Amino acid sequence: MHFSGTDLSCMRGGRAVFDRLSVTLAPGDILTLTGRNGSGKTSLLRLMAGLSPPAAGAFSWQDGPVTEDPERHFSRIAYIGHADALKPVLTAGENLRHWAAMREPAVSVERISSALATFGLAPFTDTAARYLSAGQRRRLALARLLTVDAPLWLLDEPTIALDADSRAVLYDVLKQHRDAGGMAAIATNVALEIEATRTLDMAAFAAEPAA
Amino acid sequence: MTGFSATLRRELTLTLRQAGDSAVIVMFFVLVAILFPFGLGPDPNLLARIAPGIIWVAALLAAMLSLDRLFAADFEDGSLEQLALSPSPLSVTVAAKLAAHWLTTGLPLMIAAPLIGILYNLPTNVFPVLLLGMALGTPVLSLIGGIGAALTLGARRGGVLLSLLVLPLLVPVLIFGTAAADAALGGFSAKSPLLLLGGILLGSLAIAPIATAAAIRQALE
Repeated sequence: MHFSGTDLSCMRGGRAVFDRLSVTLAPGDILTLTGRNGSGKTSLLRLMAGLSPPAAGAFSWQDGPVTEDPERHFSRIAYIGHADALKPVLTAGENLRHWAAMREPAVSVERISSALATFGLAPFTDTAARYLSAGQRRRLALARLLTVDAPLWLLDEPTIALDADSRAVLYDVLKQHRDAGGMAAIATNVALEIEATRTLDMAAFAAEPAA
Repeated sequence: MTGFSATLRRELTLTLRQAGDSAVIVMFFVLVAILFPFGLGPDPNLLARIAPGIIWVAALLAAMLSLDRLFAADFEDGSLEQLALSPSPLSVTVAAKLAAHWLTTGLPLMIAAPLIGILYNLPTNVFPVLLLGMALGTPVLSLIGGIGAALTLGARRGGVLLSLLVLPLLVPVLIFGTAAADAALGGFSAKSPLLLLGGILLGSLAIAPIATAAAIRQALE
């Protein structure tokens, strides 16, 4: 299932961030978004997620525009933003279970434990999230990817706070997702040790400064 | 309905883990009500007459105190983004959060209200009507308050702005809630104020989840 956005423009606080940007993802694609700070990488991911509407242009799946059925779109994406969306008083397991419970069909207990184990968090299943380190919190946020069946992953700087071993786990997970026909769009400021099938340099779409 | 039950369960677990938050709201409610007799003097007849009004005003103020954090914590830690991106409709998720808010603040306030009634020498035959009025009115505080809490997301001093925005809208609840208890106190039928409260509740039930969801989407843009 292809996902594409055409002729996208983005406005933030009255300023044009990027203009006439088009992007397409096919099954098995890993797209990296590069560009200096403020070039609109996060904004583009948020547009792709459907958190904010583009100032111009539209996104569509192969079977219809995103705006036609937003809930179907939400069921096809997994978005991991800057914030980890973890509740400090809930345990790692509870945090993960909650986000899995928000989707249908129900996710098995084994799948939750195996997602935690993949990211090396099995010993912390019953530990409150407030006792986790920044890297562990990031891994817990990423473990959410393994509990949902979303073909399109939208990752905003996923490697932040991760050590080398955890990055390797993330790359493995991404490769498995890609080999299974999944897609991912990754905004990043660092070189990823994974082969991207497409790259998008935001500088090419920088909006003309307003006169 | 997956979104509703999952969110309700999470909210109730969170409140249980942070039980102090709810307890503080109830203590504030009782404390505000206890302050009035110190200023007004110990006349038992006067206190019985003003008790319903005091209870309702204190409940309104206590609700304002709790609404502040209704969506703000989720907004700051990124949970609200994830809730908005979940395949379950946001208005349903929001309805679950509002239901949880009532269960953890409105309901405890209702349970604490008879205590204040006794302190104010309110005749016990007024309690059923007072509580029925609160059962119909306190959910409106959560529902209308939810709209305000969502509209003030990300605003500086959102808590103060929230009170300015929401308190005027809750005046009808205050009027009819007090009127119902007053009617019972005077020996009249409390049917019409209670019916009006019920009408306000049904209206807010229909509007609030949708309006709140729209305000949240606006805040996340």
